[in-house]
Amino acid sequence: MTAPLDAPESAQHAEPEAIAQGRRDIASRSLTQIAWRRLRQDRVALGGGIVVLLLILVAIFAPLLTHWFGHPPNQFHQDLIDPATQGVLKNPNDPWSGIDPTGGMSKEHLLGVEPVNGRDLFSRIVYGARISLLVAFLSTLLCVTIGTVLGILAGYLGGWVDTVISRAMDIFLAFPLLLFAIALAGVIPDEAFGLSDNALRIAVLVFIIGFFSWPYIGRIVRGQTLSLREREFVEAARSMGAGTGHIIFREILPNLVAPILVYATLLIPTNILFEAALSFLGVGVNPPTPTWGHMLSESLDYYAVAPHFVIIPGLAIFITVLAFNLFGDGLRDAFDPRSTD
Amino acid sequence: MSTPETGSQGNGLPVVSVRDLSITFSTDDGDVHAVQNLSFEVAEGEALGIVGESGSGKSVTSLALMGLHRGTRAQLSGEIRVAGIDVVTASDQEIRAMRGNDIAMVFQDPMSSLHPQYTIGNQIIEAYLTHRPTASRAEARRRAIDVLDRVGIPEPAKRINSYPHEFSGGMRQRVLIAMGLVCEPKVLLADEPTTALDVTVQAQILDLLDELRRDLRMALILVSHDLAVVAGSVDNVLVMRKGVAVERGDVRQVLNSPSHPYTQQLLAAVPRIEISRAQRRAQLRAEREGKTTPAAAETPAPSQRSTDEEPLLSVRNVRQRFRIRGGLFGGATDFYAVDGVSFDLYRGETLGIVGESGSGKSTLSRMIMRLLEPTEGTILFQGRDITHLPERKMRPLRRDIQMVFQNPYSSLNPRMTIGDSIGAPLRIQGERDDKLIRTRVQELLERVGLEPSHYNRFPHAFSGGQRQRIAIARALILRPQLVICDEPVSALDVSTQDQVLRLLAELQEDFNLTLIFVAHDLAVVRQISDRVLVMRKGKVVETGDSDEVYENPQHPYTKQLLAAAPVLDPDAARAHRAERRRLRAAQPDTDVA
Repeated sequence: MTAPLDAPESAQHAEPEAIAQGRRDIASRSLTQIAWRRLRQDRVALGGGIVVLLLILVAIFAPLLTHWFGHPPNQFHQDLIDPATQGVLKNPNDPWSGIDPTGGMSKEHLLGVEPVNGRDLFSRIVYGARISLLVAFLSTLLCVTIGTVLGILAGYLGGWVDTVISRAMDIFLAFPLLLFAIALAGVIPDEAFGLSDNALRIAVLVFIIGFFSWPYIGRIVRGQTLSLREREFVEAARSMGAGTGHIIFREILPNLVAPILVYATLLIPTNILFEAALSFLGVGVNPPTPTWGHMLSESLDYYAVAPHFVIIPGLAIFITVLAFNLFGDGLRDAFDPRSTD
Repeated sequence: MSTPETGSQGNGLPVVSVRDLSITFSTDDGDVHAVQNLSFEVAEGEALGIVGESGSGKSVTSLALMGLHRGTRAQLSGEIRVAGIDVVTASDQEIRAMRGNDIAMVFQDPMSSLHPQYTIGNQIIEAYLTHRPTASRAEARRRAIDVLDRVGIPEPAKRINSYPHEFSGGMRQRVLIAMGLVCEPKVLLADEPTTALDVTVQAQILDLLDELRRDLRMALILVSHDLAVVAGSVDNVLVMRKGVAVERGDVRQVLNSPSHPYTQQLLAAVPRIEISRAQRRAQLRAEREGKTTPAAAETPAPSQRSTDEEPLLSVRNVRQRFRIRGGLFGGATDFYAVDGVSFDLYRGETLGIVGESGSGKSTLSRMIMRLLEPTEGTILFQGRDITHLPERKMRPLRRDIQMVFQNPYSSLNPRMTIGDSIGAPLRIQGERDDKLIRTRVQELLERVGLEPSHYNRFPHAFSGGQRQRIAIARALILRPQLVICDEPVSALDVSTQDQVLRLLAELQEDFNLTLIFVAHDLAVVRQISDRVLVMRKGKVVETGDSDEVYENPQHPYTKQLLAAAPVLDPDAARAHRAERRRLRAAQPDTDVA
């Protein structure tokens, strides 16, 4: 029953367990790097990401784009409009030429013009992206912040803190938000909190959307924190004497970054739709500032004479939401915890 | 001891024959050869043990035997025949008929292998009716009660209507075996059937499998990572490594005179319950002196304990109460996880705490760590009462008490580099000099046998054993007096386990550590402990010098535990089995799992 002692000596080093030696050249990869590698192989997600990036660039450089390719967004071009039907004329020089079903798309007006007053649609869509994305990003930021902070506190501290926060989430989710938003729109003064006009309206939109959708992310964070709290590395940190702050910020939060990022990416399109819905209902920014939702609501009166006026803002919303969703889905797959063990 | 004739029990006709089997998975990083050119045969009534570490291809092989590779990305070549059916080419219908009728499988995790929404009776009846469509339901039910009785479920006629959650782990494994037996298969395939179970329960399940195959003249294929588990239960052994069979033969021959170096290495790694602490220490020291520079050999002998010295740690009558909600009328009932434990621990000593799951050993170590506040009793560390010390005052003391956790996969934060993880205790204790932290971390990485330049890697780049080394480094960076190891090797393969145990023994000498070593594996505890504490249901049933407890156990529970411990020598294992039967007959009330 004696094991020869000469063999194990050499065999031991052949073991996979044996100390890794001379492998300095293999760089360390963090989970984020692994996720990025996986994301790059996902063409659909990558496509979504590129579209998202383009949209952001478009919003940022809206003045430049309209300067090169269009007209100021609020400039009227009544000469293009058929006074009888309010539609867009086929030939601006001939008032009897009839209605152009493409809405007057030309080199001059890339996406045609609006009925009634003939504002350049391309410019309005480009400027509309600014409002849509700004509101969506800010409100997502707001609800992710509130949701993460309260979710971690509820999950980590437990007890009465958890009870209070969880009940608050239930209440917020049960709130008749749309009615509240419409009612609020009626009572917003022109000036408040040192903000006025559109700045105030945007702030209100961000507040409504962000403040009422945090429970969704709050619940996710709370659930994740509950399971992370039981992991041994948290216990290990406690056994080294780490305080609550260290455990929350250094141990738990880094493990939440991936789910939060993924959820935020998926929340943005929801918020874009929400903003559009609120603008559609007239709660959004004041005209004549262009927003996609507001354009949609206006277009419905003219769908017979100017179908493009319905289709183009609708497509803008559709493409944006789709791009964010594809990107978010890809992000989620890339961060899939099952394959990172 | 009716062993030698077991090999000739069958008529020599193979019920399972595998020829030149290769299984390949294609992945993004190229083909992975899980199994290569594997051949073996199992005769009727024969028992074969397949042994190997994780990644050796043993589980893939057993899945292929059941035809469960179908519909996966596995590519098979070669031939598998089970009871005359060619598993590789047979139609799906034939395979379905084969499963259950000819070959049945018992899986590793009894907790997840039973459907939680159906009674066990329903699940067994269902299995029976699938293969005997002409049988009536009443017949199937009778048969189900029969097999439940056969596998030792008390009051089978009543228990047949119970749901899986009403059974313990061992009982569930019995139910799964019953489900496998219901159609009287020719082969029973058990894939790590006892890995998730306690020692005594493991012994009972292995005894049951052994008994069943003898009584029902079934062939048994027992897959395990632990040679000691299969030693007493099989006729032949197949040792696998990285998909290749390295050694095959009669169990006595393989275990007594292994020919392949890997088998020898595996055998050397299995912790021996019969080797005493002193023998093991001497052996390790000899190996170390032979290997390292003479400087290391000069380490002083471990300090001898003198009884008048003040104990480093003194635990008096501690109890930990947990409230269990949902008792009768919604009231809470009290449950004492640890119930009146006392001991002293002296500097340089190692105390082993042994017990099965639920014995309160982990709760006890968390109380000493002050991750839990004891409900009653006192804990003195270096003469200071830390029982109810608030966390703020506890913090400076945490320098001196550190812990190595059981699961190296969850005790390291996956989002932190290992350097940050190991350095975290220093940082938490107020060290601000990053350069100093880095140097200390790299020193320790080297000390525990890892490459210091891997400082910036994340835990997922390391194997289980390497992660446990990292966890040990983290526990040592503050130069603690006392290190509590809570089942530090139970999640590791046998050979990795051996390496980590060696490391701990070395470190104990070099850093003059006092250790509390918690484990359910008796052999492991004996090798490392000076004194042993045997726990059961929150109470200490026996305590004493480790050699004394192991060689002359006083309490019947200790005896039962020792009799249940797997041993490598096939004949000794069979003797232990006979002893277990005797003990069980003598005191039938002691927990049937």
